[in-house]
Amino acid sequence: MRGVRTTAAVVCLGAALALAGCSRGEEPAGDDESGRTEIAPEGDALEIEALDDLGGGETYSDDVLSIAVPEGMTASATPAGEGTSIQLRAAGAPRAAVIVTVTPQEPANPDAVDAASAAAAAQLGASGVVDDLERVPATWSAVPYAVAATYTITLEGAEPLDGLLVTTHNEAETYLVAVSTEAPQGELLSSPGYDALRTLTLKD
Amino acid sequence: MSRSHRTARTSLWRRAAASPDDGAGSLEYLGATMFVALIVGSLLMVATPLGNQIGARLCAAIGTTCGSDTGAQDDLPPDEPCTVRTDDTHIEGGVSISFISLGSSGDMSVERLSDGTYKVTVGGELGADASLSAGEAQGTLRIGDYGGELGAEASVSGGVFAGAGVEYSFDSKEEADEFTNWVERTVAKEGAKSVSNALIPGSGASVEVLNWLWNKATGYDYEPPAPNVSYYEGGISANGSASAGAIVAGGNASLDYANALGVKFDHDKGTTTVYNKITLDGEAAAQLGLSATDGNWGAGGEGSAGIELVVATTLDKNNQISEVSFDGAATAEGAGSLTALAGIPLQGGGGKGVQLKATVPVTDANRAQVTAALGGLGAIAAAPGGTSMVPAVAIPMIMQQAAANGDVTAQFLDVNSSNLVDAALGLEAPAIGGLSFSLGASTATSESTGAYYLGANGWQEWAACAV
Repeated sequence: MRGVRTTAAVVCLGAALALAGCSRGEEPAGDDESGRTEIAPEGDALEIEALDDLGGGETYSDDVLSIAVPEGMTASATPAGEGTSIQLRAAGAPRAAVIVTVTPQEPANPDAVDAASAAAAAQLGASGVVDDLERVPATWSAVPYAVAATYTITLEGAEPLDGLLVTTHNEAETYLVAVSTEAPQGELLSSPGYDALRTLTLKD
Repeated sequence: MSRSHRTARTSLWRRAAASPDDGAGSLEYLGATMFVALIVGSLLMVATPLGNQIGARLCAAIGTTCGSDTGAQDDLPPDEPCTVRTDDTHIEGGVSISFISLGSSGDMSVERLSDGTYKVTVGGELGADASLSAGEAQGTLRIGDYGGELGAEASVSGGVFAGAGVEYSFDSKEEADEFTNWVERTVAKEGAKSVSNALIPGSGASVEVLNWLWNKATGYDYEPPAPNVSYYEGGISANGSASAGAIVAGGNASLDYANALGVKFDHDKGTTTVYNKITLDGEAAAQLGLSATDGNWGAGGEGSAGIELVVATTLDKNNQISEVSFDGAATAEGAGSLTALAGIPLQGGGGKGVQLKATVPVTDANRAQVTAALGGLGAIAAAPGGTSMVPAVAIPMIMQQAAANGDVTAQFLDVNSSNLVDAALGLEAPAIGGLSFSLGASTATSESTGAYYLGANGWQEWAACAV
């Protein structure tokens, strides 16, 4: 009996190894060699350096996230369907400097992030006021996975603005979070809005 | 025999004998696992109707499910763009559909198009993968990815599909059958694994081994293709619409997220299609000849006339609008009003409801106009200070353009006011509308219900789709 059991175990282990060996190295069908368009972005990653805070001042915080509020700005939150929209806006400014859109989603995983980012890009393009839109991977220590979209937005009678939209998910994969900021052309990376974006912290 | 060789043999036997309890326990467990997996796997692996029934009872006995517990269901629903007539043995007409229930795992539809190609749409749980953990695959029906990959090599970020469903295109029935057979086999295998794991935790891997051995023995070697189209809905489409809308509006307003139905990515064409429900107020409905008092406009209540409109906005690789379509559905009471939007009401439905589709190609010549219409309908983010049309103007404009430069088609089918949105989406985006809505599959209609297109002289019977 022991010999039979041993033999059975060896057969099983051998088959498992053979199976693993057969699986390893196989190319998945539909590998991107035929001009397919995938929703996961390609190209050099945009690096976003996380910031702990803005050196004092207020912080907006809820069950999902926290983000520092730049001096001179106020934070407001409004329901957005089943989620929330948070805006950071300077007093009297016609447009918010930072907008965070939180949407419940399960699973909120990298594939969901890719799809939500692609959907947002489509809607931005459809608006007719967004140009030069590019989606790239983003590396950001504050989040598990992120996709960045950069663009130019030109409204009627206004100067063009540089924009950045980063879509990500929380560790628990229960929320999609999209954070955007904009600034006059050439000033985005040094803008208070971009600094505030970098302080975004997602809670599990 | 050399001393080292004797030592090796001795060591081997010593290890096998030295801890009889530990070693024997593991081996007994493995043996039991193999036995259970063998029984369950052999019942379900080939996905035969009898095997499925036995497997289903076995699964039910231990309080779980195990994938397919029904056989394939041939049926007759009309398909976009034609209606069908089918029977159990052959398919007539330009288009046909069969719906395959895969039990709790989801649904699959097989559609023969009028050009002879086949489209397979897979929705429900099949579109979602179980998560991978610590490199060990758990539930690997990765129908939304590129095949049933097994093993620690599969990366989490590379393949866990979060969408509502996927679509595959095949050039022949044989290719479509190969794929659907693979899906059914894989669902059955995954079901066997779940049963096996329920009986003896961790034994599911043995089912995989047995499945591999079985395939080797029978010469089964099929690699599924990558999906041609992926569908997403829920929080994904809502987040995309909401974030974009907020950006365009500068945080001052946004799209009505509740109307964001879903999004489709065509991996071959590189296009993105966004689906939004159109909600009209009573005044707009009255102006359009659609009475909000004659039923539950936009709400789809039971037993009363209702009309639903969905707008599908397609963008090309450069995120420029390339096509817009209105997809509407109405109960019998609303059929005349809905088709009248195209200029001429379509009569003769014989008490059936109607699905209407109006498609407009968008070029530089009409893009500004179409954009204004879509902004007014809430289908895209309207720029502050930009031009947008009120719905009572936007809808007739789109319909007029479709009649002049695009296509307007309609067909009668069985709908009621509780499934109008699904009917409106129909086979435009079945994985979003829900494959459970099978455009009459549940009614097993055996007669053609008629497909029509709007021509220069009014509604014409679509001869290519007639039986």
